[in-house]
Amino acid sequence: MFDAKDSGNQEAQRSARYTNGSSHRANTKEYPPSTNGYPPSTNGYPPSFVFEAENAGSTARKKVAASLASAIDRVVSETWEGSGQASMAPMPVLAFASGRAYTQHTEPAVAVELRGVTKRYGSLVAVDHLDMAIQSGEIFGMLGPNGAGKTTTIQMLCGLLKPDEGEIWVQGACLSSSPDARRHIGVCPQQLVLWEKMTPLEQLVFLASAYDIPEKIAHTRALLMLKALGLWEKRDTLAKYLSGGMKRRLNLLMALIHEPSILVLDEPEAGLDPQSRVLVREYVRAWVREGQRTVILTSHNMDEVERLADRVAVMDRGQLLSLDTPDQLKRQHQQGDLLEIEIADAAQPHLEEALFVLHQIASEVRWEGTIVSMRMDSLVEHLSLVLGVFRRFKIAIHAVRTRPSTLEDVFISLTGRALRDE
Amino acid sequence: MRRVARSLILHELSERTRDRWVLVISLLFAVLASAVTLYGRSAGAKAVGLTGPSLVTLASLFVPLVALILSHDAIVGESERNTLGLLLSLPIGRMEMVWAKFIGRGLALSAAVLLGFGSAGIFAGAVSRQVLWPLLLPTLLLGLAFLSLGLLLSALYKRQVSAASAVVVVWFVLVFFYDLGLLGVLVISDGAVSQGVMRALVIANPAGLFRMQMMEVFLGTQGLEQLGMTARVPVSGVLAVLWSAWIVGPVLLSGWILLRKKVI
Repeated sequence: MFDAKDSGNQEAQRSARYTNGSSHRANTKEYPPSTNGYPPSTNGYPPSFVFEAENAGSTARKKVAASLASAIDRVVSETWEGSGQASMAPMPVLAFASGRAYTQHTEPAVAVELRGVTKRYGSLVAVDHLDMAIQSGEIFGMLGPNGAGKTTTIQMLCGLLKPDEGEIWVQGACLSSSPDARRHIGVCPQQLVLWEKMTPLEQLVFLASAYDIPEKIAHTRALLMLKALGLWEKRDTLAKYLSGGMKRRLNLLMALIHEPSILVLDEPEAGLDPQSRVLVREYVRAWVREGQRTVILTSHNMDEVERLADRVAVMDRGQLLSLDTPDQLKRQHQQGDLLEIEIADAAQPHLEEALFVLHQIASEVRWEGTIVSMRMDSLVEHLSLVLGVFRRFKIAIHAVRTRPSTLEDVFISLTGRALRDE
Repeated sequence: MRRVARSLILHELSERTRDRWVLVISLLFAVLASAVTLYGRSAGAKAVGLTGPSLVTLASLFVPLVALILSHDAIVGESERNTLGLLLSLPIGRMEMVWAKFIGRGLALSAAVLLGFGSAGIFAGAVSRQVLWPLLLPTLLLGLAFLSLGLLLSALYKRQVSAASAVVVVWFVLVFFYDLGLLGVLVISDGAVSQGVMRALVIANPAGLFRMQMMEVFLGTQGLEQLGMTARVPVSGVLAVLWSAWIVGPVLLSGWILLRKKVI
């Protein structure tokens, strides 16, 4: 249900969004007034239990936690699981918990803008006059080999590094003059970042309270998030006893607990099993769609980026090489379709002659072991010709495979095949 | 105090209470303090003269160790766990973060000291007012000074194991060998080093300052002279300045190092 990005309608919406330009245009959200004193529901989910918990007054914290736990169990089982949305992030309710859902607010159309950002380490230019605008509501992929400048860019975005030149604007505020704008950003780094001697619930509540979120709201929100990402049962278990996948999911929640409008994900699916990958992917997509939020995603897994990202920036040596939607990138850097032929035996007497002939047909021919792979503009036109060459040189074919151009092909085409230092 | 700093202080305090080493050493301190007090109580009239100096020796050994263990991983530990970047991305300045860590761990240290003296107080009976109350504040100051030193070690080193090794060295040097070194200086110089210089050297070490301060409390000036110690404890104003310097100085230095640190 979340693969809607392939539908024509969504594609049209996305195209329209990208033609907005990079000016700071405002999207205004308005919500109807409440009639019962509670915030109006924009999503059909009942927020009442959140307010019941908040109104518990001076009840002991443990009692509040216990009543919340049962309330959440009830609501989750009755509403989300009952409607087949058990794995979905209950972000609208989280928004109620923060009081944001009924607050009229304005968001700039550009979530993050880098203007001529440069960072040097001695003579090495890690990021070189980088200009980039990331729109609100999009999943933005950043690709690049090691040393491309992705991590440095993200660290500058998070305020851990200061650019030597240029400016970074986050939600309409310049980071250098308004460091508090950092709170718009949540970061889920590649490596595990958690406190081993604290429980998931304690870690989330601590981070939320560090962002000035009242404790009861933080507690409620943390419980809801833990439920949504399958960590409910482990909420009171010390983090050191969680599995690697659970720790990764907890890390994602730690990046989101303060309700940032921009989420930076560094290799989000590393160390996750397929089930967790699907859960995290759906959670992130739901999070973005629900609140016109933004995700900046860096990964070496092209497949992951192609599946998730609306737009992709390819970087190398600190510079932006290309920026567009995955489909457009593939069209722009068309390398042709790939044909792979697996031969029965690598020690064929006429293989080299056959490869010479194939070079006349295909734009690129590679031979590794028993696999001969080649790229050509129109596979349909040339397939019979290629197979004829193998027949002519009496080379037995074991299997024939084809695949269309991928983002990885674009990446290799832009950044080359040379290995990079870590 | 800003909410973020308060949250970090509570976070630090709660994490420390789960530190096995801190718990073990605190409990050992409590048990030994209780044993010393119980033994001293049996001395009857001489209870104060016997229990006081014994507790001073015990506190000067254990409290610096607990403090150093508590704080040596404050920054380098976060760095190794990759959580330093996360903490620094919170809306809190680096210097403010260092102070929050110091206060949080200081509270944990104070709890350990109170546990030790509290358990001793159960056995002390009537002498507790004469022995434990005068000890409490200087012991806390001694602990905070070593906590501050541990924080500095945690900012200086890039690996936690290196900081832990430095803790052992600092503890041995300042708690054990420093006094022996001064004694050696006295013997070698055959008394040529003036009392003023010796006094300055003694109070240059927080452990020495603590011992001198406490010896005067329990033995009095005459008692010190009988032991051949003619150095005097500085007046209270100077004492306050010295303790403040020992506590605040290393914390500020740690913050300064963290400000210059590149966090990945």
